[in-house]
Amino acid sequence: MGENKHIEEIHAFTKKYVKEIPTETPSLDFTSNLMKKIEELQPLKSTITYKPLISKKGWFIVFLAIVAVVLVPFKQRKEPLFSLPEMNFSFLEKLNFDGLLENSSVSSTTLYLALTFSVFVCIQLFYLKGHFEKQING
Amino acid sequence: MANKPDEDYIELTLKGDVNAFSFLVEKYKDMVFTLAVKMVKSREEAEEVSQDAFIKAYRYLSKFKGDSKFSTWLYKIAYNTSLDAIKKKSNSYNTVTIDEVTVNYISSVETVLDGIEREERAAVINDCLQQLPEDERAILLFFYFKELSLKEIIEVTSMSEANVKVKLHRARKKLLRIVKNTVEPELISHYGRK
Repeated sequence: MGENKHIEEIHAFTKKYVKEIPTETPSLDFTSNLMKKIEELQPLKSTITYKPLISKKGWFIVFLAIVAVVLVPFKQRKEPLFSLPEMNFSFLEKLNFDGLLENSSVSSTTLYLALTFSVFVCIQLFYLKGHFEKQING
Repeated sequence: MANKPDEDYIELTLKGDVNAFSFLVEKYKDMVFTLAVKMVKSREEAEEVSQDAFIKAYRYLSKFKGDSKFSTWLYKIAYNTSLDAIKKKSNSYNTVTIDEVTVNYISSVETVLDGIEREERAAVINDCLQQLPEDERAILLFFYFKELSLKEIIEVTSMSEANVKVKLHRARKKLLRIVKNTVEPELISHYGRK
């Protein structure tokens, strides 16, 4: 209790007298001298805002144009607008992948290693991203 | 451009209107200069330090996020620039022992101080402040002269809350000790009259 009162007394003493110290003023030509130096500096690089080549409005117009060109005449015609040439895909049946992986096996150690490695890569990606972002932003 | 918020001048400056920055200089030059003078103890050097601080503020203006007051951000730059200037000079570290001060001790020092003219008293306190280590001096000024909050002082000085509190407590006691030593002849004659 006594110690607190003591601290309060010193606090009150300091507050009373430090407040009386006058504010200092620099020389009359301080601002003009400073602004001359600033004008000689490189112009400030303001934050770069990236604008897309095609704006959202632009994409909407493109979409409408596609719809207009493709769907509208398509709806009105009874026969197809265009037809694909006939293609023979029967060669795919001749490809045989049976038994390709029958004799291959992966040990559990390899699996655990691969999983752990993947986890560490993911953690490092986040860490490095944050680290470089801090460097860029200062 | 009269009395806009700081953010408006900052935005204009970032867009290339250098003249907008001069409004911020005019608004804060006394604040920055007062801090610099109290820290580096020389008016000429304080002018240089203040100019350097404003140039740094201009250069890094885009990094001001607006999550604190512009004045706090500017204080931080001015404080660090002043510390850099002090480190370049070979200054002896001021050591003042902290004795236990009694309540009576404070009141007798106050009695002597109150008997002096205000201007002279301010000069005495100012001279006593200069005898403190620069970081403790700065913290006293921020807390009592500029009335910054503890949170703002922590942001300006980059010290921990505990460190700021300890330095503030020590600085107050040291200042009282220094003031007492300064007015000692008056104190002795005061007790003599009693």
